[in-house]
Amino acid sequence: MDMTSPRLEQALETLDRGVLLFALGGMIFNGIETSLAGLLLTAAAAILYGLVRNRITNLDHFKLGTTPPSLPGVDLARLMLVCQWLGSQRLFEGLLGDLVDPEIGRTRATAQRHLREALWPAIWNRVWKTVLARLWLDRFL
Amino acid sequence: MKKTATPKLSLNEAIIAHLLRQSSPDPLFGLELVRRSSTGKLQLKKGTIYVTLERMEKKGLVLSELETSPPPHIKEGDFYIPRRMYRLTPLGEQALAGLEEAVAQIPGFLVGS
Repeated sequence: MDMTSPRLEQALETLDRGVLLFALGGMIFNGIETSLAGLLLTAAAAILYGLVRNRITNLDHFKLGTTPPSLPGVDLARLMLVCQWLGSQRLFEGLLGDLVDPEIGRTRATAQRHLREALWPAIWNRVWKTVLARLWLDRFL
Repeated sequence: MKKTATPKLSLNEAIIAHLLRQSSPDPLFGLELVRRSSTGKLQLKKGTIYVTLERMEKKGLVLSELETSPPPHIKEGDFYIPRRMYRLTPLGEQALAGLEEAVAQIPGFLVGS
């Protein structure tokens, strides 16, 4: 299946919107009913959908032209998995490319700190912008 | 004839476009953009730069290509993968010029009204 086809992309976007709207509706009604378990289950289902959907769509996209010789303190498979969840190949390439920098890639600690400092904001940024885009609020991006 | 609208730039996109125009014709990679922005009041963040660049590329504001040769500090056996270098497209330049034009009108609008 060609994951880059515009028709498929559009269909997935519609699916994302549907899931997000139903999840928001579910959270609101569970909130009204003061059902914490319901709130958590709805949120968990939406998050799980988002993560798996991005992973599936990006399975074949994360390829590097060359195999890096050694990665100081970096679990490449885990970094790739997180970036696939976030659906951003550019983030994956960019963060790996940052390790080429002599200051960042110098030691295991500096490399790990850089990835930690960059990944958390990237996760929040990605989630926030995806939600805004799916709710037709792109103009605030 | 249908006129194509120039995309509007967010604050981060405007900073990136400005830095890329400054360095033109040389392309820049993400970390370098973050470093160059750190001297100004408006700064880019390591965590958001790549996601923003990806979005700008989808909008046609920037173009990217992989580095063709390693930087001089890389020695045999060092960790190296080609970095993605970005440059501004004519559409990006147009969007930045449009934003600058709009910003330049603000003082006149405030004083003149």
